Amino acid sequence: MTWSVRAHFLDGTSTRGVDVTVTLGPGQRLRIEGPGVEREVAADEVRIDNRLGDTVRALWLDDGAKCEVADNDAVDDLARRLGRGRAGRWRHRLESKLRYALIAAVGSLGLAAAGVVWGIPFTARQVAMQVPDDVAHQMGAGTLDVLDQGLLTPSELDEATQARLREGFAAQAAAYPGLPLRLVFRRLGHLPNAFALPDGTVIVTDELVALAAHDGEVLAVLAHEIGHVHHRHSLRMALESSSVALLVGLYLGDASQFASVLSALPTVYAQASFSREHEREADAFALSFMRETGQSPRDFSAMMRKLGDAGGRDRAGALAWLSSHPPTAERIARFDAAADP
Amino acid sequence: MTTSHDAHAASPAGFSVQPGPQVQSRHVLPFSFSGTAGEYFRIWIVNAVLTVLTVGIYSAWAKVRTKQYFYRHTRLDGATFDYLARPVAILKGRLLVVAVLALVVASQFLAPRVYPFLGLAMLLATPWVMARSLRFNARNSAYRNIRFGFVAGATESYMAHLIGGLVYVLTCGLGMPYMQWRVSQFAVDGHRFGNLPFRFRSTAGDYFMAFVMAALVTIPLVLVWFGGTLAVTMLAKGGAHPVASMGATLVMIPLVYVLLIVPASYTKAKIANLFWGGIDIGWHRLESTQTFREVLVLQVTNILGVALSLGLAYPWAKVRTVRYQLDNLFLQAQGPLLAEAGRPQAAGGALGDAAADLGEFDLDFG
Repeated sequence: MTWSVRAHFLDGTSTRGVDVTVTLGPGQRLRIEGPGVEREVAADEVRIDNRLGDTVRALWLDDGAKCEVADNDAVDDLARRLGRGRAGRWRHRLESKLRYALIAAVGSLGLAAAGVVWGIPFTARQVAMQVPDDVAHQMGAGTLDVLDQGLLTPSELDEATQARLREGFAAQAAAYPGLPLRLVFRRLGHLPNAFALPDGTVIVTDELVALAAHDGEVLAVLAHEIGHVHHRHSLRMALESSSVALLVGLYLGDASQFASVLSALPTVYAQASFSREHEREADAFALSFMRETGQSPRDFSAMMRKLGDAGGRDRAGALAWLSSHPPTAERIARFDAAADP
Repeated sequence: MTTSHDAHAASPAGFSVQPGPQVQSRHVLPFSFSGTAGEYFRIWIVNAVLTVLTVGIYSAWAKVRTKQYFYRHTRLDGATFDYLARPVAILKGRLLVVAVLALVVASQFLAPRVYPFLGLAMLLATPWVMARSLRFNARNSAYRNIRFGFVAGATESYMAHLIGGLVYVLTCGLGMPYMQWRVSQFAVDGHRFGNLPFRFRSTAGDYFMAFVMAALVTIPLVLVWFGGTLAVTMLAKGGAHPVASMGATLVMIPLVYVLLIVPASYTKAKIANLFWGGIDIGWHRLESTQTFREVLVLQVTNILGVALSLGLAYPWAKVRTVRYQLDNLFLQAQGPLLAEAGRPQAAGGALGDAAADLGEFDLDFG
């Protein structure tokens, strides 16, 4: 049985079109016939648009002329006879059955979520660890200067305490000769806090030192901060959060109007989740470090208790997912459990 | 080769240049849209799934498919539009954008001193990117197998942005309508359809009026909101309930955003009419008849629908927005819709014109 269809021929040099009949003749040749048009081409040289819903699609000749066909089933039939367009038909089948589309949607949403929760941190870790030492630690070299101009004020700790803690810190740092670690004392309002910069600078506030019953408790917190530097958490966070932002932007690019509202929430949740993982990793680092040096893990849990009392309650319920740190109780329990095996 | 083109080769090529005595009657041709929310929903969701599965690569194909869906369902005078871009060209553009963004993010950490300069460079590149993107989109849009074109380049784009930007800055923002008009004029005037040039008819004055009217609509709304907030706060304070007064504030502050949909819909309708309705194509002219009330209802129902369905109703909102825009768009035709291309444009053919594609990439991330 011969294949034949009614079409509208547009030659590509003018908007004037002609109604034609397209026929598949012997030797796989397509004949296009209408008033003032008579052409015959090898079917191999004709490009067939993929089916898209019920829209008009075209058979394209290689000089840019096209035959627009409204009968989509007839074009599918032609493509099948010529043994072409398999991927396009498969995609159209997917698009025509709502059931398939929904199943695939749920499946891929799960996959995307898994990619964000596990795939991105894993990749960021691999990439961050490949970055050469000097480049990784050069990152944020001027950050302390910037902080000193605004947020941080000079420490009022006496020289003797500073010297004692510096000595203890130097002993800890000696175990990691590859890291450019240094300890500085500052004040951050009245907040007891300690944090590490990517260039290896560890900052501890006077208030945190005041909370500690003895130097060992401060050093326990500093071990946790060395963990952040060792695991390159700043670099990894930068990689992780920019990947999430980029991915969310790409996926929702189609929905730009609503992208800002829709993308904000998953991005914030994902970043908090990455941050909690980093804290757990730094805790694990501190714990194994304290075990090796024979320091009691209770020094760390004691500090966590005091910091918890000073800093107020943990976030509860859904808000816990927005928290940048794991629940304080969980962290205390981990170190206490390690102290009495 | 015998084609219809040869049959009409003697027809007046100067049709677009002068009206002449042969100009036929004026008639109004409506645009129409035949897409449906259900059909687009399935295409949209398959696009999203394949994009996720291919780690974003498919997004270029998804963009082509989406544009094709809307173009091919847009009908004028018995014929539909078509989008002819090659997904690979879009993929190239997206990879370039990703690379540039990665560079900027990396510089923030590795070279903080260079970072602000990169930001500035990106800002300075905007007019160039816009010209590039308009050109790509025009060249790949076609009607009756004749492509649109965009002949303005980076120079015109920089002039439009520079003059518009200067007026904006010198008037402390009051000249915003002028800037918007100037950039729209640049975008419209650069277009061609075959041999028919585009011309932007709307004036900067029209744009100013639209914004002045929007401001006049906003003032009573803000007064009502302000009065309402004051009254509610006083009442809550009178009851001496700090919780009640905080609750009142929490209700009244988001309310201002809800109220701002009103002037936003007003400018949306007016500017759409001025932009689309301000376009002359050869001797034909477009006319747009959107109304404030209808756009307001459309916007509010769209936002509610999309929010309540957690985004799943997005295709529905998009389809009805496009349908509304096209139902209100008309072409006042002077004689038949006739355009010629200088030479056969083979870019859509089986082989494609790889040469023209070589330097062609799409930077529009929409």
